[in-house]
Amino acid sequence: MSEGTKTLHREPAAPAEPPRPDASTSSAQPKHYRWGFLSASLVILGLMVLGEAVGRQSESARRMLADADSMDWRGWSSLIVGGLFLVCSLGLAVLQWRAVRHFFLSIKVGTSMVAIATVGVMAGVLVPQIDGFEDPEMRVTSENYEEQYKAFAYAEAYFLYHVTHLYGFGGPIEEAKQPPGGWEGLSQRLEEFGRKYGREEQKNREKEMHAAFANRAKMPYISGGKALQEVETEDGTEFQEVYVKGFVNEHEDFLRAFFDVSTTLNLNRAYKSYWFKSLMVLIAVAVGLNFLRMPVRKMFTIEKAGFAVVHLGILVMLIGGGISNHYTDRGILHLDLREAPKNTYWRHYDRSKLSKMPFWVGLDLFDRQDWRQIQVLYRGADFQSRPPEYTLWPGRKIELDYREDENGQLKPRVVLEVLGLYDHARQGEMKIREARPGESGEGPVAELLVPDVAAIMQAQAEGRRPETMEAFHRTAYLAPEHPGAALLYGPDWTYRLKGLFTDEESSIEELFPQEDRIGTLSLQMKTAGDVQAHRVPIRLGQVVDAPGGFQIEAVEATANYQQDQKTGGEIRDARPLAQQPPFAPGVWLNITPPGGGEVERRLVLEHVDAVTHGKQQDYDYPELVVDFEWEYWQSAGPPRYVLHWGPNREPVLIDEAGDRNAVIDGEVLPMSADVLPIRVRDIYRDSKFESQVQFLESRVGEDGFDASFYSDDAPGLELKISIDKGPDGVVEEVRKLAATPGGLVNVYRAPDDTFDILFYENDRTMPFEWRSVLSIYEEDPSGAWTVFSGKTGRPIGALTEQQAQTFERSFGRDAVSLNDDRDGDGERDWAGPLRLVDRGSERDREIRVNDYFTHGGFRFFQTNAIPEIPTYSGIGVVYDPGIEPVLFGMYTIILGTVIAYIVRPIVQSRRERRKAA
Amino acid sequence: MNFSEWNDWALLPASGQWLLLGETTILAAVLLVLFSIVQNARLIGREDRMEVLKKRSAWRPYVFLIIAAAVMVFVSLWNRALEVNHFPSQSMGEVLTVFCLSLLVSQAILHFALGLNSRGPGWAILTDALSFVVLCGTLGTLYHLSSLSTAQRDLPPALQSYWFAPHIVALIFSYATLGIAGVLCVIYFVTRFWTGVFSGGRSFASQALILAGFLLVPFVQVITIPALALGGLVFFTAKLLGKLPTAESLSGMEKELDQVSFLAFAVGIPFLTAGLWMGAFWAQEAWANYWGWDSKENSALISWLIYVVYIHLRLVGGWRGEKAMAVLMTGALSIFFTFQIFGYLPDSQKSLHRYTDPEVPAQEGVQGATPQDEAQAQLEVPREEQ
Repeated sequence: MSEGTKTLHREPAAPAEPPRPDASTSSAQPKHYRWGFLSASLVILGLMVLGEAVGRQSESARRMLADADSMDWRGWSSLIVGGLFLVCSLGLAVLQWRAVRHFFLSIKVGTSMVAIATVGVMAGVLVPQIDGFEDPEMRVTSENYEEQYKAFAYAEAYFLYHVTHLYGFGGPIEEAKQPPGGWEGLSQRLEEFGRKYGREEQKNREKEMHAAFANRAKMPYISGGKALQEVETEDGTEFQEVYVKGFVNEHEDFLRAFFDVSTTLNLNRAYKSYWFKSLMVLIAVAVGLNFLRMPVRKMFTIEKAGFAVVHLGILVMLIGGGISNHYTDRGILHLDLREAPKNTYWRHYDRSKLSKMPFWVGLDLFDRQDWRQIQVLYRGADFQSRPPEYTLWPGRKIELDYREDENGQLKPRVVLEVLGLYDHARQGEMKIREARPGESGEGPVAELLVPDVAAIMQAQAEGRRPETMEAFHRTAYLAPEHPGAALLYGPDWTYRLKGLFTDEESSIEELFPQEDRIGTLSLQMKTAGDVQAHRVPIRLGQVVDAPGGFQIEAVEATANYQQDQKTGGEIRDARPLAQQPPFAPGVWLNITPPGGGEVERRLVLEHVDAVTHGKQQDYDYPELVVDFEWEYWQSAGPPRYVLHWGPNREPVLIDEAGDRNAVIDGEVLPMSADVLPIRVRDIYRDSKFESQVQFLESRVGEDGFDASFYSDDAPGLELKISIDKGPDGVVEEVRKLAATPGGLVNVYRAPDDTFDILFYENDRTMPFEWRSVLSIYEEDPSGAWTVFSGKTGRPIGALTEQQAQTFERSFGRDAVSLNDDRDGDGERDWAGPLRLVDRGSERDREIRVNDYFTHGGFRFFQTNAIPEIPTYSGIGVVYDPGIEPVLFGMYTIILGTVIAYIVRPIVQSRRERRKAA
Repeated sequence: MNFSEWNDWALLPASGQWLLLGETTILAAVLLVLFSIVQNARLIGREDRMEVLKKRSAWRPYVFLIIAAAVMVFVSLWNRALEVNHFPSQSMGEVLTVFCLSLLVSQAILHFALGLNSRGPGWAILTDALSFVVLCGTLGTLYHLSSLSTAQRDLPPALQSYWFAPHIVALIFSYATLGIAGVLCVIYFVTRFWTGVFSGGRSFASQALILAGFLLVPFVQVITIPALALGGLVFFTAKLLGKLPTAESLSGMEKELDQVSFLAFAVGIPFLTAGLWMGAFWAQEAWANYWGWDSKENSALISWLIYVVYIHLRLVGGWRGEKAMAVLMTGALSIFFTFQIFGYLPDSQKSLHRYTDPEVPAQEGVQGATPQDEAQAQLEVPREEQ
């Protein structure tokens, strides 16, 4: 016992000390061995080893029994010997029950168990766990050995590298701490940036750069472990892998041996190992016996209640954990709005392990809502850096464009305030007029009637003929001065029409550059401290130098990337690149690291941000971030036309041959015969328009179900813009915007032409939220096959007996997608021997990331989504009867803590006061 | 801490302005603490020292400033919440601000809970020294914080839960309080080590263990080595002045440190438990998985288990002094690793708790393969298998 026991004083309020079994030396009791920490730990470790051995043997026994017919006498004898050993051990424990009980009641044994549990958990933290360790069936096998070793070696090397290079000393990237051009030039540029977007924005960019240059940023790009260092050798200069990957190469023998030992001892699946489970059982027994040894009457005294309740809670929690461990089934259910319900999910996210539920789950609704943002673009500003994106919420104020006042103090010239955000915005009739003399206009605009290809195709499919041109036309605006409205092209990809306003005449070469550029790459090398991306134009077959010494070659491109719904692979658009409409542009790059080495082939899609979607860290060279923007004008494609407002603002249409044609209101634009006619409704030299935007109320039901979430309507923004005009005072304007690209109402142009505000939904990053509404179906006892609406999931009819029999022979008793749309709602229907289970309103059946739905003991929660497949919803499925006991245990522990730490001191002090009185 | 920001006062957002005010107040509090130490040191040897101390209020001037600074940091956080439109714990800068607030609140509570001021000049100096260490720690944290980006980050869907704020606050508060308990352990061992060096009376094994622990435990050396050096300087100065304490004369203070650190622990452990449990409640709502054996969860569990060992050894085993303090310090070390060094652990790269890393995308509770792999693999399953 420590020396401190003699000097105990002023003990604070805490659970009272229970009787110590070690100290019990009553003469009536038999003398027991006095357990010390060392002896207790040795026995516990021995029992854990025994547990591990028994667990492994029982596993192989189960395998042998499963194939009992082919088992020989050796198998049977080992089973019998193992069984006898277990029975004898249990018998011994029963016969020596007093000694066993004494062991578990010892405080030193209990403490040793917790200490060993701590070390056990620590082992699991310091030894990388194998991929998929959550799956109790997952093991290192000869098939997955190399894959598992690689992941293990990298993770362990990542840890060991940092332990052996404390605080970055000896790290690889010490030299690359200067930005290109030095800090001085950069500071000046940042200062200019700060004047426009605020000091906070400037400082943050500066801090991020410093952090990156100082190699302090702990991001996956650095931890990608691909950092290379130039090393002088006898043969000249070589690039050698350093950092984590270099550590892996250098210590491969050690790491491999460590991995093998960890696998043998189950240290790399610590929490699923039998030794860990045995320890948990030992702790549960110790806690249970200690709880039960207390007389019931004492449990209800204020001195002991806290202790009793806390230990009861721990016991219940451990039992719940045991139930979870034994019964839990976990996986993912892949649902698609276009598919029939499913009753099969992938256990532990493994497609080779399918689990069936006793019911079917259908997806009624699914959608994502993106963050609503604005960007402020200064006209004439030449920043390399991407302008900040401001997420909006009602009441948000944004201060911009700082200028010095008469006292030399910097003050914002522009203040934006969000007055309201709306789920549904409708663009009404656009009122455009010419700016009056002296009035500042918003630049030239052409109001055009362009063919509505989608409407035409729909009419053709339905056998209708156009009665008027207008019925199959939609209004489009070509506005060279507005971001996103300077280029028009049809979905049939038969023309490209660009609006241009210049004070000088341009040559044909300038108007129609023949560069065959496919787009622009934005390249960022995180380890080199890049905050601003380098923008490089790219052509097919061209090799460009990227920061960090990488070389990038564009090997293939598509303007129309599609994913095959059946194989998950790419659907190659068979047409030449020039004929592919740019719906989903992408490029395949070959990325060669500095000094040569393994070439990475990477697909970069325009509409998918690899960083925010978590794809970046899976690349071979994750430190190199590449974004891609398709070149809609200079790429190979359909004929190009320029609608040009020259110095006199008289519009002319110029084609690639250089022919110029006057543009007349009401006439068709003189374009090629292949192009469906585009009629000019109005042409404005310097326009002034009122954006007629209406906001509709959100559709939120009484039960809180937000139908607006699933709406395709563009969101709306009501923005107050205040501009300080110096001596003329502050001018305020309230503008309604709608996030409809190309409709002119998504852009605000400052009256003095100094900046534009662009309102949009940011679909490149992680969304605000995903939601799904599920329906539950169960097998119809009558056996009849019902047809259900593909859109609503409700029954709309029945299959004939003959059809039902055919379906049953082909698909079994399962839900099957039909090829036709029986209720005419535009979506294919499905059929199944099922009936709909009433599980309440849509809100009741809705799931979100933090809001699950339960049916039949299964929990469903929103877990995955795929940007490329907007109709797909990944639903997490868990069957775990241990959740409730564990939660009950946790709440019980909280209750016990409250009793011990709050109730007991209060009651005791009252008693003392009463005594004193 | 970056006082040059006063030049940009008008351009700072309200949260930055209040934080700057808070920092300046903390600096003023540090100066007042130093003044208080000198004042208390002058009482040593005076006959009326106990009377003077008993008449003195526990509301020392610097305590007002600590409370004022806590209020300012709180207002800064409140404004930050308005500026980013969510509870401000999405970036490391925001989390560290919550940590600074927790340090200040914990210290204010402990100051009154300990009530050491009136027990003698030595105890009063000890209280002042503790405030000094905590305030310097807060200033150091704020200095580090000023190098971090304050860029607003949208709250990913997984963090949009009512558990977000209480889970974080409970854990950060427990880190602060248990961190203070750890600081007391550092003071204890530094004192013990240098007493042994200068005055003797300590076993060689004990001295060697303390030295090895302070020098060799990775990452935490940023705290332990300066503390050891500072302690050496104080003892060396005391030796020059001829006032070197002996092991016996310090035994009373050691017992008190043991007691005080237990009180700090007793305040912190319910919050650590609550923080862990709330994480489990949240996880079972979001992923139906109350415990995912995630690297961060496990690191926090290790701290909790060490404290469970400590409480059993102390309350049932009767441990006091060096051994109990060593266990308590191990707990604080584990907290430090969980809070600040977690990013270097082997499995930290696949943890679901990496939201504060600036460049790391929030993983939406994706457990198992990536969504893309999932979809591809799913779509490859033959119809009959399904």
